Amino acid sequence: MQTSILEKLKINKHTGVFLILAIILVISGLYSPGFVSSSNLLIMLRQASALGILTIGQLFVIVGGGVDLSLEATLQMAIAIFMFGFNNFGQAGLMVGLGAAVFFGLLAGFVNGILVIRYHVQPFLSTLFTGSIITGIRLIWVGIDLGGDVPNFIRFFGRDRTLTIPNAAIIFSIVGLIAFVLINRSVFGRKLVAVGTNYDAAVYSGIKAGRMVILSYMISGVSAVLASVVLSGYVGFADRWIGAGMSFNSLIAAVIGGNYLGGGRGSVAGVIGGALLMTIVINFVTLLGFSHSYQHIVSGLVLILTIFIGSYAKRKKS
Amino acid sequence: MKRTIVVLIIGVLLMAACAPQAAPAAEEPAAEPAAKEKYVIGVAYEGPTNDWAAALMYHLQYSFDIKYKDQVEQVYYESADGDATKQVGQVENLLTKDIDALMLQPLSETAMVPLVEQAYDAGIPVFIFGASVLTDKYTSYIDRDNYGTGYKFATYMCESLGDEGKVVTIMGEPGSGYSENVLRGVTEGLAECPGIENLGVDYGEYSPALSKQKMETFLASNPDIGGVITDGALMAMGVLEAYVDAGLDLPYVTCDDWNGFQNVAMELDFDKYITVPGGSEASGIAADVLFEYLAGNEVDKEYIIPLQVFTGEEVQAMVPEGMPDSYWALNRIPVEYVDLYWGQ
Repeated sequence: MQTSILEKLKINKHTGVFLILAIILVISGLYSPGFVSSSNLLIMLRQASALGILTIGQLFVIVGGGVDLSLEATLQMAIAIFMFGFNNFGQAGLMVGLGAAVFFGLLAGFVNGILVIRYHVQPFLSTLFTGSIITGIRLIWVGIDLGGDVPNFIRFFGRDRTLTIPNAAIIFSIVGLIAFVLINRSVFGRKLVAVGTNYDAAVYSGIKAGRMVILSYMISGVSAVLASVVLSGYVGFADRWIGAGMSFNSLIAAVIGGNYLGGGRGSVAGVIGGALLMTIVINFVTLLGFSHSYQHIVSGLVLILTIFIGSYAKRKKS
Repeated sequence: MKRTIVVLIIGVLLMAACAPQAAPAAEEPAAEPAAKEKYVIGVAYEGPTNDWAAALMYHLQYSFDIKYKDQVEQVYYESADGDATKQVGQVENLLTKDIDALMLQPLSETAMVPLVEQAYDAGIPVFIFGASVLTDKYTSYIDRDNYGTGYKFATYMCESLGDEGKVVTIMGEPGSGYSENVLRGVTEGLAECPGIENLGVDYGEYSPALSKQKMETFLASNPDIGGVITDGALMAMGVLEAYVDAGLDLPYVTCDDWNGFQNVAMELDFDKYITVPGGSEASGIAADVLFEYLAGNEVDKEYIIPLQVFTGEEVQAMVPEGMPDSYWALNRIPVEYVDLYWGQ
């Protein structure tokens, strides 16, 4: 029986994204060797870290059969909270603000989970609306500015390095590792997969399915807070644009990493690949000097090709 | 019953057919200023969606609440939250309010055309500011010199780099009329400096994060870029961040007068840049033109604000102490009222 190239390369729906990443890096390296230097690769890893962390949070919700579109609003509110603490009460205020931001992330996730489980609101709509409400509250509270210059303590997590490795990338790796263990090697993960696969069956088998779903949203909320620290630390300035579009980007990153929005399955490796691809494709089209219109076309084609390879590999396997 | 309904419908149709036809819109309507002591003004604008738009709103508020207070009977504000579709409905709403003049910051060059023409044909003076509308049926259009700004940015780079070196251009919003006009000025200005190599034109969409990411990509291949033309200080901030992170000497930069950047520049002891006003003052100038017109004076069909250019050192010295990041150094609100709008 003939073995396809994808099978030889052990490409499946989760690893197809890495094949595309490799192709992009080869083309970019041929065009400009500096693009694939270790320093630039680490810079790109740092750029992708906030989105990656956010997408890992999104993955927990997806595995449980939901989707979280309030992540961007939660991320922005988290920044507003700890920046408010810092701007008004200095370093101590920042620490309290970070604690309050984590609490807020948990609360936002809890509310989302309750809306989905108890009131049976479609996750797509409930999280979209809670996101809208959070944004409205933030605008009333702090207006259009999220806080301005980000303090060095936050910058440590987003910009600085330990040895030569960006701290953002280290945090991203740790979060990825924890997520991998939780989803693939823990009772919690197995229960969440069961809930996402068939909610009613999970309930009948004795799993507290509602609690699992709520927990997945709370993890997602905390991931938004963590991403807010990494992102604002990377940019160095908290303005109204920070984090814009990241809810949808995290969904896209999860899907191009081979994850299924119907729930019950989840690949942390795929999510990492998806977040990297979403970031590097912007750098790729910038490097090649495409005009803005062509940047859209090329980015779209690259992402479609990634999804195509993933689904082709899946079809071949089945 | 059916017959009655049919008869009624026919009757209504006949009456409609016999009604006098509305006069076709005149080519040049008599948009004469209404001689009054106080006026009702309709204002449709973006809304305070960012620091620039907030400054534009402050200029409007200063004009109507303070400067021309005695001539204002009522101002109807319609804030579109940056949504062009929403603005269409808002302008339609304003046109039902018997306004003496319409001030419009259009969020779409095309979507606003029918309404602007409708207002103008109805004899309502229309003052466009901050962006253009693709019609000539308005009373006056007031805006920043976008082309001149871009051209000045290019010549500054040329002079600063001694007509030799590499630059990158990072514009604001792709497809927007003003970004494209600034870019046209940049392109034509750089064409006069053959020694300057423009490595690329990209869009930072006024995001420090995206601008930093794009600048890092440019620097990965060309760490010797000596100048970066940006059309916004938020993007310039992302550019500086990329250089600082890479441990490179800071480049020559162009940008606008948003104070967040001036604060960062002062922290970095950086003054290798020029600024031009961001254009938020166009709303205040539009109000001046509007009252000139209502007073019976002639006004220009197109008023392009004369270009002002300041060095980094000059603009840093102009900022009153303690001003927040959201302040705009080159605004036209008198000093005694600055705290009213930007006070902490």
